[in-house]
Amino acid sequence: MSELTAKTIAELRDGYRSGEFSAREVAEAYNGAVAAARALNAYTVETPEDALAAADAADSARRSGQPGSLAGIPLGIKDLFATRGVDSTAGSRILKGFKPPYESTVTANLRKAGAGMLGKLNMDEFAMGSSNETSAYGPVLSPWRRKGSNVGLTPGGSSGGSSASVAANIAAGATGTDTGGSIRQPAAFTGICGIKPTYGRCSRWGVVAFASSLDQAGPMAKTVRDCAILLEAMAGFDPKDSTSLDLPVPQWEANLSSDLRGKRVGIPREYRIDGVPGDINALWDRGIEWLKDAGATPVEISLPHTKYALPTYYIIAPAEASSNLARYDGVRYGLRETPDGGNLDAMYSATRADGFGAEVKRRIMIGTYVLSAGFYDAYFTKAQKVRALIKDDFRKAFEQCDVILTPTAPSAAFGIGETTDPLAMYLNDVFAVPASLAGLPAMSVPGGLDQQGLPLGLHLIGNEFDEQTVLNAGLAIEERAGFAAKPDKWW
Amino acid sequence: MHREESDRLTADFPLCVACVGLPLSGLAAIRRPIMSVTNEQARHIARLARIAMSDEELERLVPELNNILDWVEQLSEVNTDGVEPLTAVIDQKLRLRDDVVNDGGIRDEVLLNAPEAQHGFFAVPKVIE
Repeated sequence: MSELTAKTIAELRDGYRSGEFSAREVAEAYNGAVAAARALNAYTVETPEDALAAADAADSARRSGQPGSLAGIPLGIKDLFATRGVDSTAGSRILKGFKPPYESTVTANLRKAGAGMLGKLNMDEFAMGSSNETSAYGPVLSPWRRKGSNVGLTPGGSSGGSSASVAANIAAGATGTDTGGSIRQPAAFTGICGIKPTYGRCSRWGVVAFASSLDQAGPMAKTVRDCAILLEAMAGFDPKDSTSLDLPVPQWEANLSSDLRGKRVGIPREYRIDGVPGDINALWDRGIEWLKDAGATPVEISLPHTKYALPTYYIIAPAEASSNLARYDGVRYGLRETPDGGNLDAMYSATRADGFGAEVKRRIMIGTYVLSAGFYDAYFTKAQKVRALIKDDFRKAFEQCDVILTPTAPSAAFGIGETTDPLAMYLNDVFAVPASLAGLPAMSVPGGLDQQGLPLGLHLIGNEFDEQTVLNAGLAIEERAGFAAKPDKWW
Repeated sequence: MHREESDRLTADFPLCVACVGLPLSGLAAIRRPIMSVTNEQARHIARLARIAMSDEELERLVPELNNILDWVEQLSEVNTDGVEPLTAVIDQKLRLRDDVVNDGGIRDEVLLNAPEAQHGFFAVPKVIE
């Protein structure tokens, strides 16, 4: 059955609908593949019975003629999403054993569309990381390796379990979340597609909060079409999320078209930065040629505040995180540590000391500092003002172009343990963070391999609400790049 | 660099002590007066954040925090005079809902994950001496 796990979601959907194979056969093939790939450490919990139950429901729905859009499709779910009765721990020790009595809106939408859940996917703790190394469960290993090397590589982060599972064919697709690149950078590192929609498209309800003004869920999958299919099911207005967009969900899949005639592609000059490998700039140039070939016209644009995006992000995101993570106090759920004879305050402090990892503590400390009396305006308000300027850069740019093309990340995947300096790690998201700060839809599509044989991604940023142009440009690149490389199976 | 603004910003920080350049490839090195967090301040922040930390942990963390703060300090060179802080990234009005009870009556579910629940309440160490 291994050929079933190599299929795209669109192929699985069509094969199941035509009766070529049953949803149960698909679920069994995936359950077997998941169990055989534990060396990757991609799943924190496996739920084969959930996948089978959804498959059986899909098979009977097909007989009665009413299958949902994702009937028969087994997915991996990032551990940041609350799933009823199944451990939902955000990759953190402080949420150990937490089984929500409720389901996140996004996963409820996926289930309603007929999808099954293979399990929960490993991730950086509270989505704070770019390599999956901050997870309390240990790092996920990428299925990819450098040519002639056995060095374990990161699948990117924070959605590293999601990217690794799709690349290794142990999930047909996966949910990810993106606060400052956490869908796009891991997608680029593993040769898959991933899209972060406009802020507010996917409900944040039931998604463990990191930085609420930035957090946005999105799909990760093998192809652009699969991303469109998944996003349609995940998105939608939700009164339970105060920033949910009250807009109808477009038919992104039906409107997919790689004909870009009349479209202008912005090439931001500030994204040509020193120290980026030649392979990445060469791929960027090829990407421009591919979009031209699809009918688009490249135009040079300027996003003058680009260099301030990362420092802005590293004030706003930790500030919001320090506030959001105040809820982990050992009272209502998760870990509790009480020192002998300790009072309530000692319990809070011991629980949080024991439950949070080093990167999470670092960010809570930064966030608490920039929000503290005397520093609030100089740091937090200042960052919010620069964020307004970054947003305005994009507003002006989209008067001159319809979509923006850049590289996704400034490097290919790196080795586990190779990047130890927190600031060097933060630089991974230098190309991804500006679109996050501006709330814009953005996608990574694989473009080719570098000289080490590792995947590289191209990054498309669209105007707000215009996921369609992002997906269409992604499709044009996908068709021309012809990226078919898969990692050699070593696990 | 907007000199006036930078001066005003640093003047607000009585703790300004050092000049630090950040050796990061890909971004221009930043050299300007910066402020820096002392061990004592870090202890205070840890206390505000309710995270117990040993002296050794604080000693390790302080240079890391200072590196990050030095780096974000480059925002002071951006002229933001007359710029409104961005609070909603996509322009929309906050919705109001009807003021009606729409949830509740699920005490047992609420307590399901409590590390310690007694008599239908969350139980915590004694608060009143």
